Amino acid sequence: MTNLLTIKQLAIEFSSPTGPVRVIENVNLTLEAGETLGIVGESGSGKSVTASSIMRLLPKDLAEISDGDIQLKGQSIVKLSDSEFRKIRGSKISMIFQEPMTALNPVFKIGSQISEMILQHRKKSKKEAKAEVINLLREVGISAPEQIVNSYPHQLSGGMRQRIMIAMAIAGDPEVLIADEPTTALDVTIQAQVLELLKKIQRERGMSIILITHDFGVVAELCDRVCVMYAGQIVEQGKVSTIFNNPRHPYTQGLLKSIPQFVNPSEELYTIKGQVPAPNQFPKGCRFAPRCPMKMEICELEEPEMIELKEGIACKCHLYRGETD
Amino acid sequence: MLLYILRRIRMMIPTFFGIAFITFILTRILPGDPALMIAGEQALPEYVDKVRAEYGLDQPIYVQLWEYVKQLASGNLGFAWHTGHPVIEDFASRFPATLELTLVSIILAIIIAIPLGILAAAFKNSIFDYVARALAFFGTAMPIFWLGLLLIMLFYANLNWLPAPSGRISEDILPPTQITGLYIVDSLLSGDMVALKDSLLHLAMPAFCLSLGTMAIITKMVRASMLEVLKQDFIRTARSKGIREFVVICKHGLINSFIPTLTVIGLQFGYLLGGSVITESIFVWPGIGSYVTDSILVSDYAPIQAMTLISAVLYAFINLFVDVLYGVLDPRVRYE
Repeated sequence: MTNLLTIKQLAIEFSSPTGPVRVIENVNLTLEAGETLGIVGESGSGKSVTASSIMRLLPKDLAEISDGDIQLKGQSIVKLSDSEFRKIRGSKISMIFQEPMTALNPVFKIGSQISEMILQHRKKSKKEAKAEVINLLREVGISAPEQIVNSYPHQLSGGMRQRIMIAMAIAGDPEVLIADEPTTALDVTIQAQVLELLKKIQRERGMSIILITHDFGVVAELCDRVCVMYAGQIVEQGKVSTIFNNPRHPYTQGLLKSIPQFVNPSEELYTIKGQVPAPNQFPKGCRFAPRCPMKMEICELEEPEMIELKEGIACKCHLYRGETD
Repeated sequence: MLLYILRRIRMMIPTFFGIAFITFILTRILPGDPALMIAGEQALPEYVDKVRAEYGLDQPIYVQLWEYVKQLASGNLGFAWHTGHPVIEDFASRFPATLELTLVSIILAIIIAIPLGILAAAFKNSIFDYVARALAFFGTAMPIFWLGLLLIMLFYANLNWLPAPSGRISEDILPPTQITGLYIVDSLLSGDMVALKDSLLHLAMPAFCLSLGTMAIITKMVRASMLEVLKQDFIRTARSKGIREFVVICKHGLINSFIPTLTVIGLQFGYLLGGSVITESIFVWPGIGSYVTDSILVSDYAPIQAMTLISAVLYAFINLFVDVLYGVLDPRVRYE
């Protein structure tokens, strides 16, 4: 398999009244063609910021990529001019967002919002685009597309709107789809349908997906590989099945333990104590150390390296020092 | 929709009677004796009394009110003795002047304020933003009478670029053939370039003077609502499509931020249509504003009452029109 998207040593800084704050540090990622990569973490772990930075959707006056590189098929896209980058947005990489209720423009019809994407990136007449919109809506499982194209977002349910967002995102026939918490705002039954839909589209179109979520259940459902992020860094990555069976990092272990199980419902749900620290208060050593149940002396003093372990797992934890594969 | 409009119009009727009642009372409270004004300062008291009886001004106030309401109900706006014409005729001859001034100043305000507001929001804290904020401050703080005098001093007295503040057209130039009553339109329609140029020059100062306040308010409004809209999720979605930033702002942003702006434009338009008393007086503009001023100065009740009522009616209808436009711009607004 070939590397489609590569993120190398990415660091992102946000400006603040007290000077720049590094919210993302040393993030390394690869996305292979046809693969689904999950990025998991709590709120504030930096997963959405990382994803938005790929699409260059961070507020320009606030955030800046201060280090590292993002490459699409080996070509750096960080230094492209805005007008060059626009050719990638939507046509090579596209994105769907968490809130389908607000992500669509309330004053335009569904049809025109989707065809805008087609007209922007593919050489098609308005008429062809219109026909294409109907096909896309059918592809995302909307039963009466001829009616839906003429309706406005407020007339549709959340699940429908998310399907429309997906239709819009694939309208430019992208190679990478970034889905930022695509099911978080939806009902559980609708969540399952939307995940199923993403799976189907990926299979049929051979797209790669980056799925951002805080829900390990969603990762298990959809992803091949997973990156666990904590406080702006990747702490563990590897194949989903391996990490599920044998999580190495104490944070990953905690996340997996806090998924509700139905085996013993009387048991209290496990929680990781404390919160993700704010970016200007990241601890000096391991950033997870203050919340870690397996904390050692070294953890608060020295930042652990990313250690390559067996079965393609990489883990940023002092527990595995000297255990390289 | 039609039903909604009809219902709104029905609701306006009591408002109009209320306004008629209030202006009636207010004009009676005004100092000055109309009978004395009509008869003339030098007239004998007997003659003044005769005039008073003739105009019904010796009747008790409720009788006068009843007469006024009866007159209104029959569609008669009364007679302006100080011009010697029925009020409706005066209105017809003066309204085009006010309408032209209002239209030009509103258009001027819109074409400057909307782009400036957009630029200020799109490039926050840039030079555009500073200009917009300075204009908004200057425009709302500057008193019109002072600005008017400064303009006259600079452009007429010192530079002599613009004609004297003497109405709509120079005395030695024939007004264009009357078609709509708006000199710019009429002179264009009849191809009278001399009249067009002269009336444009006459319009320049009063129109700018009148538009500045409106310009300031619209700029502020566009900037504020645009800043709000640009933070919305659907703007991020639009950007993620790879369309140009210009399209993101002017298509996806502007329509959404235009709705609050429309309210302001509507209100200002209705307000200005009632005649700007100060601007029209400074520039001797023969419109509704100066007509009302003259009427107040000579205690001519009928035109004061009529013009107040007409302004209220115009205002109410423009408001209704704006509300209907909401429904056109925003699909979420629907009227039954």
